[in-house]
Amino acid sequence: MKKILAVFGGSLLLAGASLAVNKSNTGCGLGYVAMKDQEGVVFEVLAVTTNGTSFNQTFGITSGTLECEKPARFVKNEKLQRFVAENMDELAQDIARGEGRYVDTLADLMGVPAEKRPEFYTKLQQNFDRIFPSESVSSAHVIDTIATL
Amino acid sequence: MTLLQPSKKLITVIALLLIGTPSQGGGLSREKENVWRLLLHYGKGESTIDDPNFFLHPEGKRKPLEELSATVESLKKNPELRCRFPARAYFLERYMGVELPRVDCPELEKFLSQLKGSHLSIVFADSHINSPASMFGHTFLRIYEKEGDLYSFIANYAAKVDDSNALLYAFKGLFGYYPGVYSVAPFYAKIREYSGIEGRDLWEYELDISEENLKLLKLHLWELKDTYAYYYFFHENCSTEVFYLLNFTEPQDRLRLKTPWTVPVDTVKTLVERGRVKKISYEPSLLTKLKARQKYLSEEDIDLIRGWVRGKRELPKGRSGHFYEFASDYIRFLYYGRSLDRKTYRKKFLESLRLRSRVRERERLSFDREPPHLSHGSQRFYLAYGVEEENPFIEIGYRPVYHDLLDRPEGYKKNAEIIFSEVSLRFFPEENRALLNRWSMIKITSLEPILSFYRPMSWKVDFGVYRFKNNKGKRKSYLLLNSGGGYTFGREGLSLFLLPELRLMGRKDLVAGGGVELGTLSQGDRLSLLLSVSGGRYAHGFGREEYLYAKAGLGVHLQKDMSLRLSGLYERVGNGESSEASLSLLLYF
Repeated sequence: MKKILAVFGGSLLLAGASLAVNKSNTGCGLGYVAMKDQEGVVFEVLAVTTNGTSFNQTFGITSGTLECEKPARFVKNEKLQRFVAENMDELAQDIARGEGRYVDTLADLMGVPAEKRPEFYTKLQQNFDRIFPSESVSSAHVIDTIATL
Repeated sequence: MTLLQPSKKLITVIALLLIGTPSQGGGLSREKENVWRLLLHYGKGESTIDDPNFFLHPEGKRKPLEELSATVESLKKNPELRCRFPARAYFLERYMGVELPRVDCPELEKFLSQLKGSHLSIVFADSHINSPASMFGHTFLRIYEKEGDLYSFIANYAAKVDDSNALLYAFKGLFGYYPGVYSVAPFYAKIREYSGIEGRDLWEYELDISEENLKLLKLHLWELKDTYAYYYFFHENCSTEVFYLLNFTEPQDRLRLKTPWTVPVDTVKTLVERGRVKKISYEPSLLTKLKARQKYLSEEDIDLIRGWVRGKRELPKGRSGHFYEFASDYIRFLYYGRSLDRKTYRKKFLESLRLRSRVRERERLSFDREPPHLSHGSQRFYLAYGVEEENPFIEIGYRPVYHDLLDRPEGYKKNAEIIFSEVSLRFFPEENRALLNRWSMIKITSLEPILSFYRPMSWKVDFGVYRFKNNKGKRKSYLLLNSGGGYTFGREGLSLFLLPELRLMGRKDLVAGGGVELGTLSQGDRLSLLLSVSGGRYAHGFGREEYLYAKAGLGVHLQKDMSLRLSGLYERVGNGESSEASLSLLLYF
């Protein structure tokens, strides 16, 4: 009986997964987690955390932001691109305050040596307006501006 | 069946295995058995994994040895299969000396390159009482190289829930109607989900694990991709499955939970007790940070920020770091709560951050929350002596989970209670009579005080069998559903609440009424006090009389797991009244 249920449950799941919309375009700018309604929140959160709700994508190890505009610098650094694209808001906060784990992770991904970090963070903070010039700022612009500081 | 005593059958299987392999193994030792069982999620007579694709032998769910020989055979016949079961292949080669054909597994390699790191921790996400899915908290694993690395990965096990209806959720959750699936995601995504959107604090417990065992765990996580196990709220839940994976830290020393119903906090307690925890760190949620910053701001500051959000005034220049940090976090908080559209959000968010970036001071915040493993045991037993009207009684009670408003608050969410299935029996020695005094099937109360920037609803649901006096002065047992919603004022620790309520009771006939509950609650590590009065009128049954229920409780917390409680109750329906008082000794374990 349990086996029948298991098979039934499994097939239901797969059916559900195949119907799930591939909602990869969750945005490349600020407010990455778009809020439309309650279901929307849950859906977007799932989209971020599991990279889509479809059953075979529960291992979110590749980026959901591949279609975002590419920076001119750090072109090959996919991890950096993904991190910035998916954490624009939190990164903006850390840059404005000149410290925090988001800028620490950014410095790790960009390979900034430990002794240069205090200076790097100060520069980030001082150039906040250039890094985030407008509401429609893209993650590519953020990376490219930081790279030229 | 048990694997621990090598049976004839086991020896035959090993013999068979060894015939097929040139190397010498010398038999399946206890050590190897433990690792193999671990890889199969083998528990009480069967594996907890329900996905038939997880097993290579048709009886694999129940027969680990058959599964072992089927695995060896399949891996030899079909070398590609090691990309699906890399931990099993690793086990066979490393522990059993079996030689298997090698193939490249590019997807697995990519997965392992993402999951690099030599540290393992278990992360406890606090409960979020206004969401039934998270009442007891949640745990997941994190693998990382550097502590602050947000681009490290976490492994999670969760039910695929599609109902937001609390009762349906509870029912389906209890009886295994949801499939549980394993997932892997970047840590930053979980931080946003839990601490940003859901307002849940995180505690991280770093654990000891050898490099080799961590490698086995990573390979095993890959095996869990796309598998499922039915999710049972109390015994096969996120915590038991994550806890199970922690056996990889020391496969030879099986971790066991003492409680029949497992709640997440029990797992971190067990790990701390067993000395497996190296370090504990804390991650305050967005809401907790807002509350902490509020202390540095005046009411005018908060009014100013709220006015700015509504577009009524400009955000002033030259204020403190706290001021702008509060403003930008508050904007995010509103956005996550769907109170702002994306356009307004982006504009206001950047506006506050631009001003913040001109303030060079560093912000230091302090938080006073205690880690969850310091909380009292989630099971409770008590013994009480009291008087009901003029009759002395002795009462015993048992509660499998979890925490009520008068229990010692340390480590739990303040101003909240969750009780499942508490039963109490009352004996009247003079009358030589015993009866079921109370069966609280589900009782949940959330009394989160409103703040100047945030107004959460307070609410209660109480469903169970209780004794009440009817309008003719007889005390009888009724099935009760009492629910209400309102607001709480004050602060955590000392508050006043007002909850309009509905009461439905059933015995032979339905009794229905409504009124309001007014109360005050004070929670402390030594003393807790709760006074409440519910007054209203029955609209159907009980002679449509007015009702009044007054309760007083004083908790004296002697130790972490021991309290005394003084309780008093007065009830009146029409002209029928009754009262009782008792003193109890409560033990938590």
